[in-house]
Amino acid sequence: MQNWVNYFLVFILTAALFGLILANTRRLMMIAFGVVVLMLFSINIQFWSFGFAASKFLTGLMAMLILALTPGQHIVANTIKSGAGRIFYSVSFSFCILLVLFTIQKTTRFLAIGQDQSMPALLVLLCGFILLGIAQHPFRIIMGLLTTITGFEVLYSAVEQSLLVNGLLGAVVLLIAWVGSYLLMPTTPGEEQ
Amino acid sequence: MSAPVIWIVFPLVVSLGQLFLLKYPTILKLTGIVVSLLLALIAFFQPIGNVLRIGGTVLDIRPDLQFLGRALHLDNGDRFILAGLFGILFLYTFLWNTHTVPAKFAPLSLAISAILVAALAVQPFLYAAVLVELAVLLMIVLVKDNQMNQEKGIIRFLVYLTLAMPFILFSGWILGGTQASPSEQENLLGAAITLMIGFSLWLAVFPFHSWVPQFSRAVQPYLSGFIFSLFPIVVLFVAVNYISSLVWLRSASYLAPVLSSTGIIMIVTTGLWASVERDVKRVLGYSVLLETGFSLIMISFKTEQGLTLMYHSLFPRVLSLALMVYTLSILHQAGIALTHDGFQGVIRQYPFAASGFLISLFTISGFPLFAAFPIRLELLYQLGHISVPSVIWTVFGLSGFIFAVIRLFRVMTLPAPNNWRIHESVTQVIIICTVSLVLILAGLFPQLVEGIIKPFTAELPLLR
Repeated sequence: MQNWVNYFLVFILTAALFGLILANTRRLMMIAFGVVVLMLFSINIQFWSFGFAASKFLTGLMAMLILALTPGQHIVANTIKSGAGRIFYSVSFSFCILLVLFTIQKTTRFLAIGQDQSMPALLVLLCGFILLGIAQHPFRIIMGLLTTITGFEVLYSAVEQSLLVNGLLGAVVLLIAWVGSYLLMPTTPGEEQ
Repeated sequence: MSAPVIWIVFPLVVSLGQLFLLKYPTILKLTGIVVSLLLALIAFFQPIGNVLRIGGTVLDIRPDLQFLGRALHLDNGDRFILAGLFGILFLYTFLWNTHTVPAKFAPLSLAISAILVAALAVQPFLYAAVLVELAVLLMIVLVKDNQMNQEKGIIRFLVYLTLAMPFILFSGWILGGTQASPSEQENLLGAAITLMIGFSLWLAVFPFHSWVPQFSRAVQPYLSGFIFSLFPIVVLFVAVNYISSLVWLRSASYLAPVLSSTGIIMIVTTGLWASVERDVKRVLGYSVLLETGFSLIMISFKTEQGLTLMYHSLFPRVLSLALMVYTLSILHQAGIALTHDGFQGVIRQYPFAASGFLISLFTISGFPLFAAFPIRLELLYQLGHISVPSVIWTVFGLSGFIFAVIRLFRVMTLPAPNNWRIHESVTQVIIICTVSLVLILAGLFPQLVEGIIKPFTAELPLLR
């Protein structure tokens, strides 16, 4: 990595991704996602202009806020209840971390971007895939989708600098959060309890 | 005035205006019918690049519109899909029952159509991925209602179609930095794989098809029918346009076998699942998958006949699907459960709706005398020149679907304690009879449909 501080940032990001996978409540997931977005911003700002990195950061935060404001169940049901479940989730993500570590040289060469950006982006992307693959609760699936797109955005924005595409991608992230919030709305007043 | 202003900006502006009229569904229906019919007719009769005379006003219709440094381009090759797309919108707006389908249908359907046209028109192509995603997000707003337990099907729809976007964008990026030279073969293969995964997710191609029956089960048949009529057709056109614009991809040796094998697998698996299905809404989803499987085989021929056949197949496909969802909506509205148990002896109570539903299924399965029969026959004939085992597998898959249709026919015509009685309204009877008649006439006189469509298909992209 170009900057030693990025080791530290990637470490916090990985911890936050573990938190995102293992969290049982909506609040914990929100905090974990917020930390992920903040860490990505801290890394991206070293390579992109402040405005560009800040726009991604704000988009992520706004998406999180839209989902946080959705009324409904705050306990994310159907999630990990047993210790074995937690271990399974953790091991799955650990394998993903190993996959990223073993393939990072080749990926970096192919994408022609630095490890400082490609490693966190791939970790976020794979964490999103894990959430999409194993989550059953709609909230966790929407979070998985947002996490996947957030990871992809970092990779894609690093290689494709077009403002229009990136602007549209930002709009897509916000719209996914909005549509997710719309889907999560309780259908009857009683369901909220 | 440019063509994108007419077919993209104008419907978007109208849909925005319609948002203020949500309390007046009749006005929404009327404006929707007028706008969609007008746009379909202009696309049908007015060549792009010529002047359009309306009374004393003369409009020069140019093909390009510049937007934020990017181009939206619609030319005469796009008139077929424009007429078809707004024709579908007209059909569904005309058949829209304002009492059972929510008022948001009018503005959202118009906006979705306009955004999908923008996805077809935008250059460079990779922006289409983001525009399609915007249309998908609007589709979710369209289909979500207050019914319980619909989230699973809708979320699957959202996840699968959203995941397509990164793959398409990524392949666009690889291709942007790659020249078609032998040294770049590895990158080109990577681009082809990501592109195929992206399109497979969009088209619900095997093994990414599981959301289709779940989605059709979760939402109102009318709304799922609208989406299934519009979305796969637009994506097929985007795919054909894209493949035809990349010489290395259309000449790749692996393209035809991959497409035809995937299409056959889709037909076989769909036939098998449909044959044991008891939920009629899911059968609707399977019929869409079956049509997509056939379309992939037609594209795999990479000949003028194959592509022309695919363009011709869209007419019975759209019309039979519209008839199916219209009749299903009538039965659903009457409180009949859309399952085998609910359908027992239904033909005695709703003879026209039940017959219309069966006619639509007969058409999709390619029964003789119905509109899709000549197309299926020609497809099997052309496929036989390439591979006889492929024909056998295709017929096997189709037999599974036909078995499902015969099962439904048996259930619907079971003896019931009730006497024969017509519960449909006169308007419903007229609509069902007219569409059924068109489907039968198109099967009896296929040259008629061909004669209407041929001038348009001549300018469409062909994978030579």
